[in-house]
Amino acid sequence: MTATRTMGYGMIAKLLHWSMAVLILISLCAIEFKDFFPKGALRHAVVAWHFQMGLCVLILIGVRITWRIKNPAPPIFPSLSKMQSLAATTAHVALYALMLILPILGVLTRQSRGNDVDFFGHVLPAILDEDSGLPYALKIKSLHTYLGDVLMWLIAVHMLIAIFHHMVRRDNTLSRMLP
Amino acid sequence: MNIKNIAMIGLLIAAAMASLNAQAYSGSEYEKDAKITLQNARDIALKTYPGTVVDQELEHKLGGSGLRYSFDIRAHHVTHEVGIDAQTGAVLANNRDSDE
Repeated sequence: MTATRTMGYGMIAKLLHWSMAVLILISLCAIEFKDFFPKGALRHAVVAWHFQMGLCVLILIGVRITWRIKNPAPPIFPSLSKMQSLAATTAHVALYALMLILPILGVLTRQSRGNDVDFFGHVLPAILDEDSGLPYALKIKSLHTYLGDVLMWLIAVHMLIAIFHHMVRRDNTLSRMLP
Repeated sequence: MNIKNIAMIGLLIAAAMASLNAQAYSGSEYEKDAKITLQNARDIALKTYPGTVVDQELEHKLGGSGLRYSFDIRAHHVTHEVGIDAQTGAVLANNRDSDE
């Protein structure tokens, strides 16, 4: 099976893209809307979903980066200007970086304040313990929250630009990734 | 991934770190509506439950004036959520954090 077809992304690239989109959406919604749930077991479960989905993203982003390096993106027709290509590359690198950094910061946020990080019933080994992490807990959490906001904006821009390419520029940018 | 891409990631992280104010917190957009500053509220919260602030937020929530600073404060392996009214400085909550 070829990884990347001439006119579109291959099945694995599409699967990684759309499954991660769903995981990120669940993770962001869980943390953004947690306050709508009453304090207690239900809210605890909603917050836990944020962690679980984030850790799934962390695993998949490793696979995705490896896959992307070995399988270049199919070309866009009509082709982009140099400026547009540079902007697209920068935005994609930023998205990949955030998908990698945010879950790690999430783990550090939990561990720096002495909480275990549970991944579907398995407690992850501690990178940071409470004694050494507590003085940095607020800064780590602030950075996690801030970069989370950056990710939300980048995703919104990513979606709008994909629609712009499809509806206005009428190139194959979006259709390459459609199932 | 080539060197150029790695450099871009580095720049992104550096830009994010540089633009992140040490006092950045959720709800800072409501700061203009608050009479009590974050620092004052933080001082009151730490007097109420001495420890290390691990999270801070300014939020609209029922109780008091409706606008409060919420601090998660960690001490002796226990995290408390301390709520301070953003208009009066009154302590609205001091409970063990149930989100842990």
